[in-house]
Amino acid sequence: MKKYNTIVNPIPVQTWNWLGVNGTKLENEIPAIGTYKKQPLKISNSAVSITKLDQQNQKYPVLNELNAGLNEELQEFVQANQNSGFCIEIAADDQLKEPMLLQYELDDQDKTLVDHHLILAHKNSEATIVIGYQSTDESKGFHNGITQVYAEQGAIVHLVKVQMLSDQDIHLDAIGVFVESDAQVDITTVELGAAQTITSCKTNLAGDNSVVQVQSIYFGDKERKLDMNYVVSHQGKKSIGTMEIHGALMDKSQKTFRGTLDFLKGSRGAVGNEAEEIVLLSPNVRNRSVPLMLSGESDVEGHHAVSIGKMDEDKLFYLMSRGLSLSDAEKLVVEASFQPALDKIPVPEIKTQISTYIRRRLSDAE
Amino acid sequence: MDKKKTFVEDIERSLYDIKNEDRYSYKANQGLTEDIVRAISKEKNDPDWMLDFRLRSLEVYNNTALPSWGPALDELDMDHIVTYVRPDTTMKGDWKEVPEDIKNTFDRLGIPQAEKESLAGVGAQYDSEVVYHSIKEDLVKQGVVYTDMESALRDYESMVKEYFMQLVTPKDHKFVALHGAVWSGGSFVYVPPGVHVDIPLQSYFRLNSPGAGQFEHTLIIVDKEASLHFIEGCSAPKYNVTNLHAGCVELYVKEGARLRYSTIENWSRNMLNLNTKRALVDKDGLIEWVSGSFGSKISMLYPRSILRGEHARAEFTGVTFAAKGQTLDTGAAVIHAAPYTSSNISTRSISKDGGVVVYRGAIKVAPNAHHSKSSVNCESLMLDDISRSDTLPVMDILNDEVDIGHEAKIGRISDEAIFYLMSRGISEEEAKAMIVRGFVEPIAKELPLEYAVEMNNLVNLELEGTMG
Repeated sequence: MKKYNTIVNPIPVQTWNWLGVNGTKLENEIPAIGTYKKQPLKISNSAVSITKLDQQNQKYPVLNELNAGLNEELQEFVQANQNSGFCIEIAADDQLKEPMLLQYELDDQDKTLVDHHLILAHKNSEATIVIGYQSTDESKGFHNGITQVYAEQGAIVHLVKVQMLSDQDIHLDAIGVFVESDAQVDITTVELGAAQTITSCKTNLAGDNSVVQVQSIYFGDKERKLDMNYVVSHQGKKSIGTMEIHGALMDKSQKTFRGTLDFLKGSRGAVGNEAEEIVLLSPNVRNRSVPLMLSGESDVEGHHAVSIGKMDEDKLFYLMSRGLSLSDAEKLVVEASFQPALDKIPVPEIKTQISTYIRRRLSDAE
Repeated sequence: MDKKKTFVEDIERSLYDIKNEDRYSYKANQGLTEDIVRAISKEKNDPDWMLDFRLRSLEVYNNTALPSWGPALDELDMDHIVTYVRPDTTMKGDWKEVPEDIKNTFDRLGIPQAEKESLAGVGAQYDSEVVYHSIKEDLVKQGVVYTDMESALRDYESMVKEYFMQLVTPKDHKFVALHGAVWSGGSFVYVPPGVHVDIPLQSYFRLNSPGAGQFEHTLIIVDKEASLHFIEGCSAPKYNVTNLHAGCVELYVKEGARLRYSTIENWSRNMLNLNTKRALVDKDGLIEWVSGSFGSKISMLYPRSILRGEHARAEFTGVTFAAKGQTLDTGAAVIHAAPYTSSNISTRSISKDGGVVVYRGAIKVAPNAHHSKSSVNCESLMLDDISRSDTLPVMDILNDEVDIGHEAKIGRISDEAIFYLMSRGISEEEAKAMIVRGFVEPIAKELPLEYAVEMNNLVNLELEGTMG
């Protein structure tokens, strides 16, 4: 067991300490990391080179370009303790329509997971990768991982990460993305479980005309704590960055979302949009939203918006006038707000699992 | 065009830049020690409790670190700041009695003229003390008090003791601790229940002494169902040494009362403006902040409204314009601490010639503050790509019965808009200036006419350099 006292998920620019949003503390001890024995690769693709990524691998200098990790200490921790990981390399011009699926399951046998993945999309290639984290029993599990995506010129990568761990688990996850010119990376994240969730997603729109689209949904209930730190850095000219975040909080759940659009000098013509919409379903929740916009370039268009409140009464009234009960109407409204992100998940079983999971959580609360 | 640019800048700046001889009847030594604090307190004839308060504040100051966030304050060296300069005059009630050079300064700034035309009372502070104070007779008859803090401490001691630095306590941050230790000057206003002061009161703060600090304290109590518009103006000539402004404004808005607090700040660009302003608003009360930040080298200014009574409201309207060499870190914070409270924040930021502008804000809704509403809108305009503009808002919401909205935009003047105006026969420079004036219009329209004109002049003055 090791206690980490450092601040993780530091905000790119500090603000007042009394608000408690400059970073977050990892509240739980990190257990000793064992082996992860199951085969996570559920759907593969014969056209793709999938090799084990071990921490000593020097083959991929691009790893140095990818800024990922909740902080330096945890980044080093992942590199030192990795017990699973793949390098998924898509050859130039290969456009794969079928998704690949990595599914991790924490249970009494595999209690700890430290995974490190590299998705390397060569020029003009296209691929979709889904990575899921679940628990199959109630034993206390721990996950800490890094997923890095490097999209070469003209490549298109869609990364989907779905977390449905059990109520005792710790989930620490960092995504790092580097996008060359004319390439596009879509990130879809779904955060539904775990006692404490700390995630980051740092994307570097390095090339001209590069695009990143982040779609994220989270659902907090019971005493769950979520801490998210997403950054889109515009470096390339005419780069386009979008963050769309939808969340619902109930019971005594707490959430902090830091979303930063950073227009670096030289990113002329860049366009960045960030929107977070939060529905509050119980009086004892705590929501913290920190939408930052940083600009060292004048020729950009940046926009961010946050909306926090109870469910839209007009929508509820309409649905109830059509015969739905209040709770059914509420479920439908929450699900509808999650739908754009769910639509981006290409594996139907996972989509169904998510919908069932959310409905069950909403029903439990009644 | 270039010629005009220089011409305009010279003339306009000179208004603020005229330096008088540094005359004083008492000047504290440079630096900050217990002896200096004791000497200031003695010079001001403080009651014992105030001396104790100063010494406690000094201790807090010595034990408090600089903020870990915000602009770098490396150049601040308290060992070289003079914290108290008493001008070589006592406070007067007639401009004719104010020493010629000081009177001329305020004449140039248009204060006596404004007093005649559009104000119900005026306070004029020169360095550390107020040199002129007046209030219209009919307000005095209604029980309105408007005086300098030194007189208030003597004549209304119990009220000052009850409210002074209770809302902004020395423990809040390093510079209010400093303020608590060395404060001097400032204005005290009390508006009795039900009294509406229809014409604004204005205090003007002028710092003439090089290397000095100004630490004025403004304490305003607007009692139940009363109303007031208070205007604050500040300026200083430019020196090549660092001047420091660490004022403190405490506003108490009682049940059903309204207070509008307007500021046009145009400190010179050697000034560190580390000012703290706060309002406590009771049931059905309204605080309206109107804030224009144009001057100083570094500003850190975030008026905070604490809505502690049901249906209390806060409005903040601000414009910040940072040019070469300036880092203006401004914004607003609202604490919703009671049910049915509402807040509205609207800001416009402009940066040019390497200026750095930051909007820093916070909306906090306490667990009991159900049915609170807040709307925040921040827009930033960058006039070139050597400048910076950052937006750092935080929302911390602890109740579900709320309606919170935040929106921010950043961008530049669109080519289409300029093209359209040029197609109507307007020059490119004028088109850009028109767009910037339109951009700050929502703020300008909240100001009394003459201040809106002053703000427009400041905007035009700043733009000459960019568009010329």
